[in-house]
Amino acid sequence: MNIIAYYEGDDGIKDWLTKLIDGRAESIIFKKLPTSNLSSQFTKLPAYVADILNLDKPDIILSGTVDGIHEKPLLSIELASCTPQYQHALQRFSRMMASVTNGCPSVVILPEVKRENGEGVRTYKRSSSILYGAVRLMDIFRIPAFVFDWPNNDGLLLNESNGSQPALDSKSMIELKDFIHKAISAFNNLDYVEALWRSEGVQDRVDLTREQAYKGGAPTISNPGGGNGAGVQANLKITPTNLFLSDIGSRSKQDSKILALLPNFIRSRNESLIFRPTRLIQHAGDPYVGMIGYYDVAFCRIGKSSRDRRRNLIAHFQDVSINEVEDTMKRFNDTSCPFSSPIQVNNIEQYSYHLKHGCRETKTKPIRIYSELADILVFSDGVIFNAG
Amino acid sequence: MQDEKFSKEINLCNLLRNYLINNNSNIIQLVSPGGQANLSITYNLSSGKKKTIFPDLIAIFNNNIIIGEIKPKYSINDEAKLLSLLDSINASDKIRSLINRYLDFDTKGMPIRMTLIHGDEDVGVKKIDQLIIGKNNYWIHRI
Repeated sequence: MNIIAYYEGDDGIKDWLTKLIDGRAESIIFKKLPTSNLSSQFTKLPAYVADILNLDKPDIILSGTVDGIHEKPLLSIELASCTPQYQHALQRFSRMMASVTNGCPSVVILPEVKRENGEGVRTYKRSSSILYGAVRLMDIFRIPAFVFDWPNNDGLLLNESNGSQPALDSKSMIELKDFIHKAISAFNNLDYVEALWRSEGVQDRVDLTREQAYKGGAPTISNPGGGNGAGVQANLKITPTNLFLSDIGSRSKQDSKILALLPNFIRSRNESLIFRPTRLIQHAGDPYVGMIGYYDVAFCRIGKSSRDRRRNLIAHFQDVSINEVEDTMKRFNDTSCPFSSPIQVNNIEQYSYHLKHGCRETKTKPIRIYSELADILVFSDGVIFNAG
Repeated sequence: MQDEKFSKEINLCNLLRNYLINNNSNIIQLVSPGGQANLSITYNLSSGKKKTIFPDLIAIFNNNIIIGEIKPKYSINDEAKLLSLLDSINASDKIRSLINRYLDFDTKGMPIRMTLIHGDEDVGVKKIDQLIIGKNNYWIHRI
């Protein structure tokens, strides 16, 4: 088989990946991931890669092809050299989720402990939330989703010589190499993901991930980071759906009339999980945009579709006006939407792409994520819901 | 446009990486667009105010510590950033401490060179070094 590696960054990644794959593929073709979903490069991506990038962008997406024409996802890899506490870990989890929900096995490489970047005095331990999220994804999708340790020495990351990637002679990277080789061996099966799922050692890794995720106490809504809850200040609560709707509906006639149109699949769920982001567009919506996926998978989702939830997932913004959505989408329509200009050589690819797909995967990221994952968005002066 | 800008910067990073490796350097951090900076320097400006930066390049090159900022073209902001490190009361101590911790050897006495890395051959700056990629991809080191 031949591997196509979509990647971001410099040649260091190419060298690292080549060593990791270690001659198990006939060839590796390297292609750059587009910097923006609005670029012409995005329109040329295979649908499954574009679908992953709709939710988030892992550092590397590997696909395989046997005939040189058709390709299918092999594995995504996220290289997360950040300090691994709750919010940082969960922003990387969204890359894993983007991959797995689109049928692509996923790996996040994240240190178990890391010293702070600057002074190096304080050491951060990895939040078990990312492992819990991985376990929940595997329970729901039956697709491998693993966290490998970025090797470290007393909290200092160990990298490849002259590179920014994890040292390949470390125990965890030797294990990753073995996992990738298993994926390559399983690839020729008609149902590749199932074949990988059943490969020797993969279930042991699933068990190990589960064991680590539950160690010290599994995450809960009141303690979403799990363990002793240190360093986690999540603003999450469960509310009866009817009470929440009546509370929001009582704010104005407009809110009440909009909520009266709520689809039955939302209204009929007895409970709702409410989380309180303080921003939508500013600072790219961080860190909330990265965390909503975890709240979904960890506490709401019971099936592969976002319809399959045991409770609603509601983003109740604090002091954010609905104008942010309206203004951002208006600006998108006026300046970025290819339909705002005549068809020309320099926009034909985007124009054609939008004729077929609309702006589902190209509009501003925070709006993309919330409209994919939240059942209801509540602002200080308005409400939007998932029409289904 | 954005892709083109990124691609120029990544190309520069690739050329720099090869140049440093071919000259027996030790690259501690080289951040290209889309990459994550792992190491930062927190220091006090001459005004006393605290500042943190994530340098694009931290390397040992020709027995010098190089702290570099990379852009395809000369950047006045990058120059100001490096000058602020140079003027700081404690940045050099912080840089040494970071590298000592990372490489496990003492860099005492090893000069620290703040270095602008770009592709504008005609730019002259004072106080800091420049590593310039000239036409035909030859590197020019201006001290």
